[in-house]
Amino acid sequence: MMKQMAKFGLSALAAMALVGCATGGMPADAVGVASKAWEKREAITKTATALRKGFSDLTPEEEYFIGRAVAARILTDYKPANDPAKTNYINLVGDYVAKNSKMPLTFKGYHFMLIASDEVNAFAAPGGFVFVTTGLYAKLASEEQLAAVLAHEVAHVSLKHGLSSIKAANLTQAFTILGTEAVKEYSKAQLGELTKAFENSINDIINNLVVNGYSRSQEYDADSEALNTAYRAGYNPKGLSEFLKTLSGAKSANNAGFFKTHPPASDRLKEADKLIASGKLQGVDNPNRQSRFNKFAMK
Amino acid sequence: MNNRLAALAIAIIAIIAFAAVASAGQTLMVTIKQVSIRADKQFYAKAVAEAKYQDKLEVVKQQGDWYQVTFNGVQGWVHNSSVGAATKGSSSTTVASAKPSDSEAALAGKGKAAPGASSGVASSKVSDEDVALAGKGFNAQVEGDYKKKNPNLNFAAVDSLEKISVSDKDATDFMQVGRFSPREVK
Repeated sequence: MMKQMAKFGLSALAAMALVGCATGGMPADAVGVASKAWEKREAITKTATALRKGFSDLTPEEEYFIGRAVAARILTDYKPANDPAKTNYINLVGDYVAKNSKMPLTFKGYHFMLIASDEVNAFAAPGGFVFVTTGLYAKLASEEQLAAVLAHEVAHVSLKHGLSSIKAANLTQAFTILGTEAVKEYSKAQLGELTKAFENSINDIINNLVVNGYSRSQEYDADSEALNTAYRAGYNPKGLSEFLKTLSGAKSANNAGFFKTHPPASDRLKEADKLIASGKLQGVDNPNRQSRFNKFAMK
Repeated sequence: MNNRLAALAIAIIAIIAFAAVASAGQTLMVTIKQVSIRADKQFYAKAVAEAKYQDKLEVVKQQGDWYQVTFNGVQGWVHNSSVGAATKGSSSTTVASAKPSDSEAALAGKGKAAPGASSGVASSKVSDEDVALAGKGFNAQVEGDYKKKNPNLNFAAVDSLEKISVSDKDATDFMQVGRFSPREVK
């Protein structure tokens, strides 16, 4: 929030400075005010556009549209599992976890989907579209573990790891086209260029999300934030360690999914246990949570 | 004005601007599609009002991640992930000197008149920078163009996914059965 405040503070400052220069000595009649307002708007719009430099300057609305396109790419390659009961359960756990994250609210909220694939994997698109494969779900043994996996994915959203994969050049291109007119519709040429920048941005994110994986440090940050989130929510953060233990014992036939895009589970396990001990993030399991998980466990 | 004087002036204005940002009476803008204004600073507390994207909220005070705000005469709480600082603070911006004209309102593309002027200029006027940024950039028009160029992409499944949502009641039932005791991270 502070960062956002600082950003807005800076824009306000720049706007004030400009207005201060532009308005000196203008007649205060009605026409003067109107034309002054117009000039001022032009100047401020330019400033506002120029001040947007990096991925953290994207608005929640833009993040949402980027997320929708990334989700559409994922859902073109993977099919929904079509299991309403489990989907509902995953959304209850996920929404509760998200409410305890660094970014509880997004433009249109978090949505969680089970996708039909034997691959052990989970993805999160910006804005809060989260996907878990049936292959991963089948390896879960408790609600604490499910919460840990979802908290890890929510952390990728709240820490803006997806958006940070967008190459600076693509954002600069978009921010430059954003132009100086306060209109909602773009001209055909502007739209073409913006769509190109949008498409390139989506490709950048997909490359990291699905193909190469995030950086090791981003994965460790997401684990760390997942532990904090689970703790805040009242889950036992050990759920993450337990799931990583399962993964480290599992063999991946073709080194696909999680195994390809994440650091070795055994390394993550060591780190998670260290963080739980040093951060005093101990918690307890609960029989009610276990019994409702058992109802939705993969047969 | 030489450079050093200009830098000093900017520094002073910056301090004033930041002070204004942090104080009560600040105007916040809703940055998400819709947000419930809650009776208490908890996600599932009773909703006392619904505010929409770009609505302006007047800050009463801030506690942790929550703001107590006034919206349409109703007081309640919103989480900081649903709002951004509107650029026009209560006092320090000279932008307030120009009253919003009809042409400005039209330019803003809002299509809605500023609500009652009695609440003061700060809360009723659409700020210039908000207009510059809101709805611009990657928006529905860009998505439409992207879809046209990539007709194979499964946006229909995304639309279905978006329809999945958790009601306050389902969430509170879920929490009750789960016997959670939420804690602060030390």
